[in-house]
Amino acid sequence: MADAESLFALHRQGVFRYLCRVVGQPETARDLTQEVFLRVTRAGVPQSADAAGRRAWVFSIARNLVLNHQRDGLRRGGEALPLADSAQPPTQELAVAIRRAIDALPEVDRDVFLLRESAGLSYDEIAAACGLSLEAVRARLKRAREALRASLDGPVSRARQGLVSLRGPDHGDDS
Amino acid sequence: MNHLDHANRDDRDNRDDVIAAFADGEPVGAPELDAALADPAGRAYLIDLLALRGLAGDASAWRLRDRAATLPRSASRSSGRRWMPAVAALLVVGVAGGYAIGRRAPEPSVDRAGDVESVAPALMLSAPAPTRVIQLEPGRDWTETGGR
Repeated sequence: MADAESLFALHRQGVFRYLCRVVGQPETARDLTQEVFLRVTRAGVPQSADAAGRRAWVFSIARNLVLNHQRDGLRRGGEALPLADSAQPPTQELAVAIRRAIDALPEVDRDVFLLRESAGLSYDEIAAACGLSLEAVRARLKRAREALRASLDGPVSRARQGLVSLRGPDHGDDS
Repeated sequence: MNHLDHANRDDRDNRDDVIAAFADGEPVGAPELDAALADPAGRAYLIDLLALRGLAGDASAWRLRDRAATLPRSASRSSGRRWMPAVAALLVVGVAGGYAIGRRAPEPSVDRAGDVESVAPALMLSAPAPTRVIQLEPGRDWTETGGR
């Protein structure tokens, strides 16, 4: 039987990665991750759902939490994006460019993209977490990718010359 | 846009949808994947998706999904699913074997504090028979030179 502790062990890193990508600040993402699992504990794990359903449920909580966090931030005057510093190595500018490109996506498209790429959710899980149909998930993901490819044309072209794999590079432990 | 353009766009969209599903670890038909990867534009799209993932995603999440997707060896071979039953069988044998080995090995008993308290008796070697018994009596000198 799944409990809050096992969900925490299974999904903590994925939730943190997703939140980190959305809010852009690891410390804030850590706080929000803790809040997510506090809510999971308080709400009680839905035992009728299967593993994928419980995962989608956890990420729906994460998504709602970060949406509220961002709306509260906008009402308070917003969080400033890190400014590019020309004295910094190119990766800093690239990180800013990626962040801006992701932030420029429509909210739901951005969430679908990040749930897929940062949290590794399946299409079904994303649909459940965002309250979308499967076709809508596919369409939004495609739209987000096309928008990002257009925004990041230079970096994508350069990345295309390097190594790619379905597993991708090792980003290590973020949390 | 004329009818031909619409058809070409639909073909391109279908191809890209197959490529994206494959890259995302979603189920795809082997013939459809074969056709999509046989198209140079399809392969270029796959590389773009992976390059974008490397930039903007987090590839460690891919491993967490535990989807062992691999590229087919050649575009002409559509045998992507033939190996799956063999892999599944190996997994079952491996798990069953590991379970059986684990069952044979005695488990340590654990007290409430979670420390390993003792090893099950079956594993404890029996102590060798004593070669000499020294009887300790209060007040008597038990050293080698004293006592009986």
